[in-house]
Amino acid sequence: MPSPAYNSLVKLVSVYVDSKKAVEVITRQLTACNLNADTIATADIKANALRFTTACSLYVSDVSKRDEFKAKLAAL
Amino acid sequence: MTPESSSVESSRSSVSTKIFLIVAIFSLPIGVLAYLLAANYTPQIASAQLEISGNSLQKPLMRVLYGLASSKNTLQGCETAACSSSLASPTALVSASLDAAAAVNTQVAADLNTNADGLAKKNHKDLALENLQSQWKLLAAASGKVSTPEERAELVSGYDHLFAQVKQLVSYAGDTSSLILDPDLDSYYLVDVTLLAMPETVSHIANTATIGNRLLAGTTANAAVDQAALANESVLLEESINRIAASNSTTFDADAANHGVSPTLQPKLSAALQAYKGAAASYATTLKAILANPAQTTPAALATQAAALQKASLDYWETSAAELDGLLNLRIADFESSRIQALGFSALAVVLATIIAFIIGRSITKPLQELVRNLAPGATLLGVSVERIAEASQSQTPSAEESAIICEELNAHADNMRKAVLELARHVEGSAAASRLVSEDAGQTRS
Repeated sequence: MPSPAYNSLVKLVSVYVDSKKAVEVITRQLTACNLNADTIATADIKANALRFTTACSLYVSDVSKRDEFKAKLAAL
Repeated sequence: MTPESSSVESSRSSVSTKIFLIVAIFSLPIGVLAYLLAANYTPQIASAQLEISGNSLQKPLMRVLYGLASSKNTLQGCETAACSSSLASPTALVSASLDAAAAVNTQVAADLNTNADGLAKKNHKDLALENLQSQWKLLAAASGKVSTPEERAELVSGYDHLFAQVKQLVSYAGDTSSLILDPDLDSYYLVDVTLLAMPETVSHIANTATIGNRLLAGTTANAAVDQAALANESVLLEESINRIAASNSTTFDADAANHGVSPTLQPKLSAALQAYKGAAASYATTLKAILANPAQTTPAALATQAAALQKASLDYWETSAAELDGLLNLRIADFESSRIQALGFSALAVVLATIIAFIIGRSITKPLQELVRNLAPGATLLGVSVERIAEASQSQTPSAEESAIICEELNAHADNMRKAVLELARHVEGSAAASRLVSEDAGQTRS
């Protein structure tokens, strides 16, 4: 069962990217970081913030929304 | 609209809309065929209904004929003083039947052209029911005060004239109601009985009774001529009855093959025909006896026999007319049922085609939607990636991790595109084409 942190992350990314694409991008980053959806914690997200923001921002064309996303991810 | 703009509009429609349009276009001929099929039944139903209208007018008119024949028969067989009371019953039958015919005519005259205007246009103004009723009123009044042989002869002549006119109206209504052109073998032969053979038979019975009466009463001007005429009329009567029996037989044989079996046709008509043939046989024996030796029979006995045969033929005619209605109603019900079936099956075909088209449409659009979902973010990905690479090249300090992430996402997207193209190829050209593409792609990747 996905952890609350994972769910929060998906919910946040889904605001800016299509929800299926959001899950796909997040899953790729989790694999790259050797993490999984069931155990990931907010601390893990913050530790890998650059990866998550960089990857997810690639699918957001609006610069201001990209910045907004980065700020919200940092505040998780 | 120019061809270019039309093409643009067409290309803007979604795939599912286009599939729906294809179904609609293919449903159109089904709809047209269903309409033509249903429209084909409508005139056949209308024709059968017209025949029923014709038959409904024939019924009272035939009773008028029987009533007139009976009146004539009674008049010839009665003693002058007793004629008025003897004529009361057939006179009442003719009066009531003419009233009934007039009542029916108000409902069917427009369809059968049996109103005064319609008859006048066909040069049959004298056959208008109002005219026939007026003539009958004069004859009925005269029948109450027959006192001399001359008055009797004049009244008989009046009956004959009215008889001929009613018979002509029967024939006219048979033509305008299409009874004469009945398209089914079973009802055609029944129409042959009710419309053609029976009126002739009534004439033959009346004629034989008249000639026989002359021979028996000794009022004949030329006995040899009357004997020859009676023999001739007897043969014609016998022929008419044989024709009726043969027509009945054909009706029974053809019944099952024409819009289903009528359950009452054979039992009722067979019984009525047997009774009719029985009365006809007795009457034929009496006529033969008159031809052999007139002294063996009396005018009253002949009149009684003739009246019995007229009554039997009226009963038979009534049964035939009722059974004809039954056959026509069966035909209408069969056509209506076939029309509903044709429309129902057409509607079912259209609904089935729509459901199948919807399922096929979904099987086409669902993978396409998946493709769109997979590929749509690609444009943003590429744009942002290029933007980031440009930024990195300007700052000369590219983050290795950032570059790696961009490359990973680009690779992932390239994989998605490859899968999407293969999926598309599988849908558009089939599995074999998709396999060919996979091998070509693998070859290009290796080189």
